Amino acid sequence: MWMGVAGTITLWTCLICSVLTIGAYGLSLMRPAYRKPVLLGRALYTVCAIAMLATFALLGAVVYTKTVGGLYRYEYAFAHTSNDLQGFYRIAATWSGQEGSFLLWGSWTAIIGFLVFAKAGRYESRVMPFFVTVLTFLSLILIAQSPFKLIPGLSAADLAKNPGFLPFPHDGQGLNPSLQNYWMTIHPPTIFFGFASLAVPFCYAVAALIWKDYEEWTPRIMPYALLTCLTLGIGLFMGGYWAYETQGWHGFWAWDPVENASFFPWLAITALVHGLVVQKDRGGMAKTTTFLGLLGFWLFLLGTFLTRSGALSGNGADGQMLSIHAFDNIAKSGLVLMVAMLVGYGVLGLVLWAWRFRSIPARKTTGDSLLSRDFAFFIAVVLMVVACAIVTFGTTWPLILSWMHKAPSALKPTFYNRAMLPLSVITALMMGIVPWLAYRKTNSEAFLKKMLIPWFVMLAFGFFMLFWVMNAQHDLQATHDVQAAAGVDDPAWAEKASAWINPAVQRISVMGLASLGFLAALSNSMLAFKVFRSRKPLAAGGWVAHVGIGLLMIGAITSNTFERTMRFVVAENGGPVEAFGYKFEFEKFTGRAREAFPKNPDYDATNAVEIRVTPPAGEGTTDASGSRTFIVNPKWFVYNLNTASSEDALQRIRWPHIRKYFGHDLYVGYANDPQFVKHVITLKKGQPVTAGPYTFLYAGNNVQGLEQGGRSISADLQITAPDGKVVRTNPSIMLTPTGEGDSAGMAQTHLNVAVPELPDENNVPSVVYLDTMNADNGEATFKFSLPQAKGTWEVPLEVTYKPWVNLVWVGVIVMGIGVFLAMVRRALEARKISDGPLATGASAGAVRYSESSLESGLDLDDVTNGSGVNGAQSNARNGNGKSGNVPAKSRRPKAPTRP
Amino acid sequence: MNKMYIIAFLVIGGALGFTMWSFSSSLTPYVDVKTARKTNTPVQIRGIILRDNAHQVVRDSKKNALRFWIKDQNQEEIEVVYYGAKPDAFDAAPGTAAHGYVRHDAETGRDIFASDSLIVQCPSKYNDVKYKDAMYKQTASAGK
Repeated sequence: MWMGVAGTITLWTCLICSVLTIGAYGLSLMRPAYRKPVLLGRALYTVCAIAMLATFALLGAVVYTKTVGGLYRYEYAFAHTSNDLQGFYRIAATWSGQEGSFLLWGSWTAIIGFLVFAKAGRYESRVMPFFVTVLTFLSLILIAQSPFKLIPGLSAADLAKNPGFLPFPHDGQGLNPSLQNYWMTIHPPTIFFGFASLAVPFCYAVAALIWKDYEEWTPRIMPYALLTCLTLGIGLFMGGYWAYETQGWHGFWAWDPVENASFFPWLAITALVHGLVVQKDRGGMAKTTTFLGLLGFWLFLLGTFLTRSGALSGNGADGQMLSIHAFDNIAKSGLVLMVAMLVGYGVLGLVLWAWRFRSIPARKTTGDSLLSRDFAFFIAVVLMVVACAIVTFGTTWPLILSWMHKAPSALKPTFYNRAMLPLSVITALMMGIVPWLAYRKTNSEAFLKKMLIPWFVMLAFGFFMLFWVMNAQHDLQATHDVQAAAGVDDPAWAEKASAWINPAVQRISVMGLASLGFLAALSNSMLAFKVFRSRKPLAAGGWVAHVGIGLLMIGAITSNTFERTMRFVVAENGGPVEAFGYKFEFEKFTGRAREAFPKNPDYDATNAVEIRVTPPAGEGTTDASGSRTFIVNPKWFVYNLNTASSEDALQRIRWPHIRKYFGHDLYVGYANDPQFVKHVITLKKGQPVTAGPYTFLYAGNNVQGLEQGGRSISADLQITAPDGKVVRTNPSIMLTPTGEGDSAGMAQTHLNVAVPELPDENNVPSVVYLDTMNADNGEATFKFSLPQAKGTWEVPLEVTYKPWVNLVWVGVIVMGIGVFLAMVRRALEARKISDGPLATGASAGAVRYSESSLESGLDLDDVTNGSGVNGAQSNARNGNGKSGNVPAKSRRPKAPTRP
Repeated sequence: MNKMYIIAFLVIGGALGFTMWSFSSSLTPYVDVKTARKTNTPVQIRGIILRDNAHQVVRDSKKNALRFWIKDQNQEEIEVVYYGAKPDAFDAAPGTAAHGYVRHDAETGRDIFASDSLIVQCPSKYNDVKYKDAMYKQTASAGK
């Protein structure tokens, strides 16, 4: 099979070229005057990158191409795709397995490498050798655990025994149905781009440490750090939305270990971004920013190791799922290489940083005043590093437990919610006041005066929140009571339920955090608005991002704390059932028509029931026919997890119907599979009974032994239709031995029998079913659904009212826009870095910034401080030596232009 | 400068202290069924799910609850009543952990474990690639 061979060749090419690239760039470092080694390095890198991309394309071809009997000999294709997989899912199947996701990581790394050497300028030879090592490791891992592994196949002897068999499977297992979702096509590529881009800050930090150049790395790395923040953030958002749309995945964020493994690198990079602003502005925090640059990538390596090694994605020692994400197991050699990456990059970073620790220039990080923007940035870094540490600790806890030889178990969301709450409160407060703070020192009178209006608006919001919270709490309690009265919820749960914190404290924290989030959104939007109208509109990026976070906090805390759920049954012939003011009524079953004997027609693919909902008075639009109602159609899908093995492993996926409103979401899903309830009739042998338009005669029965043990009991049932036609059916019960030891018994399987002679309308099957048979008195009970005596549906629904959850999505989008603006701004600034001779060591302080980059360092976006303090203080920056070569005179005219 | 560091350490110290408290207070112990029967506060139990005729998995459609039996390591059995939607992986799961408490059920007259959350076990065959004979069978469409 040429694809596999080609793939192995490309992987080896990638590996060898990556090593040669390191050599070429190393040569250019030793001989900086010559251009040739750099060009050689670029050429070799290009070959290496293209080889990685080609490998990815080859795996894609293996997975995508539809040929019968041919490509399923590749184990990857067999495990992840099948003949009936459509369109984009065939492409997405490429990255649904271990090896494919490594290739996705490698491909993005390869592409990003082109960006790096194009933009690195004189830093190319310093950064590229380290960057390429990522591709070296990845190609090694993929050589060790090849994506092109072949299935052993059937031997000649087996083929002889089974004529008509192919040596290799002619169809694949297919993509896991829970991954057959449009998110599978966009979430992994986006988040892996974010992961791959983490290597850039790492390499630049290494270069900065080795060559002792801490000044220039700042403007160069800013756009990359923001790119990571943006793409990794969007990837996380996509994952969250996917989880939200899927019933049973605990909402948009469950502090699941695998979710956290993508989140803690993001926290490190966001801390880096804030630290870089400080460093750009004052020159301080150099130790911190270099450390964070190294940490981001290393934390990603840690997270990916925890996920892929099975430490988080497998089962705990007692067998429970540690995480809702599950991945294939990695081969031992791959695991060893991942550990090598962790240790290698970790040791490199740590040793370098520790070695250079003393020589990293320490400059004043903040002014003398606590009430200053510098201090706010400093605190921001501290808060995010602490949050990162907490999440990392929580995520590695199962691993720590297994090292201590205890049964691993994941920490519950309760832990994270509690631990992060005070941090979130302080963060929201800081975000709320920082737009009103000046650099260096804020005149406290001016500050208080400026904060007066936003503060009062926040208090007004706080009052509103107070009433809202009291109301929401009351509604929540009412829902519990109704459910308990219906026997649907355990009566004592309202008290015993483990709220993640004392309920009164929880209510106060919701009010507090929501109000502070509101203040953050308000303050930052006021400042962003002003900046947009100034000369540097792009400088509004950071403030816009904070607006997004404020909104996100409000949405997250209110929807998570006060969402309420009701479970009830909607029966086909029953009346409407009311929940949260909405009335739910059965409309129709829209699943596929059931299949005939012998399959159990309850298990069918992509079923759906339509429920007609009447919204509360005053809500909803009236359509042409004058009705305000709308249809919700949640779906359920039952599939056999293990199509390849002889044993069934049935799983179900439920797709809820989410109806979005401005202030809430109505989330309608199934509490259990809808049941088709048939009519019941008890017959005595030989005695015909007329029920409705039909006459039933239980004529006889039959008991047969079964090959695999047990027996089959069937009944001979004759049905006389209204038109006189007589139909004979044989519904049966299968008794098969099951279980072992103590739990051994006989499993009963009732086989529904379709009655094709009595034709039915679409989707309403005619079935007959033997319920019980009593040999003693000759009675048998049957259940049936026939065209003129139809069964009815009973649909158990789980409806959740989620208040203000859409603020979460709006917040994330606004944050993304803000980060994007900031990234563009810093990328444009990075362009203006003059490309003189490389700065090293002590002369780093004399790096010449062009006028405009210095201008940005002054942060003219500080337009809210009318006291003019900034103008006077900015001259004091001469002391840190950064702006030494720019005449002070040129800066003074800028002060009066500030509004 | 010193002020900054003091404040930073206060923030870090406070956060870490609070973290440790959250950590210890959020751990719900795993207990066996015998202890669960005696405890009044929410606990977690775990065991294998029994699926034979004497211990059937029943969907209580009136209450929208799932009733099933589990047997723990000490061979003690208890019926679990889970108020919630049946977890997707339940049918294939060999065992599960359940968070809840034991109470007396008036209807059936025995003690049951009222649960509000289940963590089901993944079927061990999830990741094994096994080939059913049918996969090798040449079909009419083969060779097209």
